[in-house]
Amino acid sequence: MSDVLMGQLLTALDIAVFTRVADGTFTAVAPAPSWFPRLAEGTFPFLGHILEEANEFWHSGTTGFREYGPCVETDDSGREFHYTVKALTLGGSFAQYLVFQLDPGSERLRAALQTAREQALGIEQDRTRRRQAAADVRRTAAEIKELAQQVLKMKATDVQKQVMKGIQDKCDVLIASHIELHE
Amino acid sequence: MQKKICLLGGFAVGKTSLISRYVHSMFSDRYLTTIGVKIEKKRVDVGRQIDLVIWDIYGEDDFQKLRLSYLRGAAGYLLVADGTRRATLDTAVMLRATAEQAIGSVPFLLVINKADLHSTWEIDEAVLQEYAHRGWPIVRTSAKTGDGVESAFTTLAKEMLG
Repeated sequence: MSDVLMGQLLTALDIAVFTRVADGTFTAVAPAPSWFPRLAEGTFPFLGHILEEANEFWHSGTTGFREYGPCVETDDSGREFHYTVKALTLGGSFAQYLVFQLDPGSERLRAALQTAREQALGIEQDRTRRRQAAADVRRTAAEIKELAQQVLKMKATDVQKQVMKGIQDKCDVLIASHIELHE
Repeated sequence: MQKKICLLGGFAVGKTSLISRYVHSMFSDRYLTTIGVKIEKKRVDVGRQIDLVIWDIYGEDDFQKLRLSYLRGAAGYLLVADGTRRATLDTAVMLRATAEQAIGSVPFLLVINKADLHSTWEIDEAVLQEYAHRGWPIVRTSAKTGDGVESAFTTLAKEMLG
């Protein structure tokens, strides 16, 4: 495949590839895809972070690649896009490359995580509501029990005393209950 | 002068919202999971000008664990918990240990977010006092109203300057 064709292919695939030359600088292998120039300023800190680790990898002399990211960038319209970076050393020639690629998998991962976490939050909120409701029931039962105690201290008929005693017993059951654990 | 800081915490505690409030003065009620790392910058004047490079790192949970390499070079970090969810404080405490192991003893702040929902907080003041007694600096914030947000970042910036 010719260099020109390779360049066109990389651009069409939205992949930006740079060769690392001996002095540690980089040369573009192909014209950068349209999404890439936006990175130039915004992600400098992340690139710095990657380059530190990538240089360690390149200096190790091993072939293969190390992947970094995903990192998130936001364009002017507020749309986020995720990309990953690979530091690559080819076997044989030991040529070194830095490869930037959009990461569509991140969007799918985000959608799945979003759903899982929203559900987890829903369960947590439900549990909290249940706990609060249980606490309310117990507090109310304690108040009713106290009222019944006050009635018992007044002049009351045997029937009234029996009813109050019954109410107190029921309140004791509620106060001692663990209803927040029943899910 | 440029300083890298990281925001660490469980999922949905409001890390991205805190940064959005601090850097862009914006807030959205809609929870949107962060994947990977998002980097923002803000210049702050705390006697000296510092360019804060703020790393918004995805929330910690069973699905995504903190990648220690993201902490590399951080001069400080905010440990963020959600006052309405007790478990997020436990996550923050665990992340503090992880961060200390990774980058040593650098300034940090425990940020208890969602102060606008204080009446529904599950994290007791007594518990926070315990951490305060251990020397943990604590700030209460609301990304929604903006309360405490500026102070959290500038306090950390001052701490980083020593």
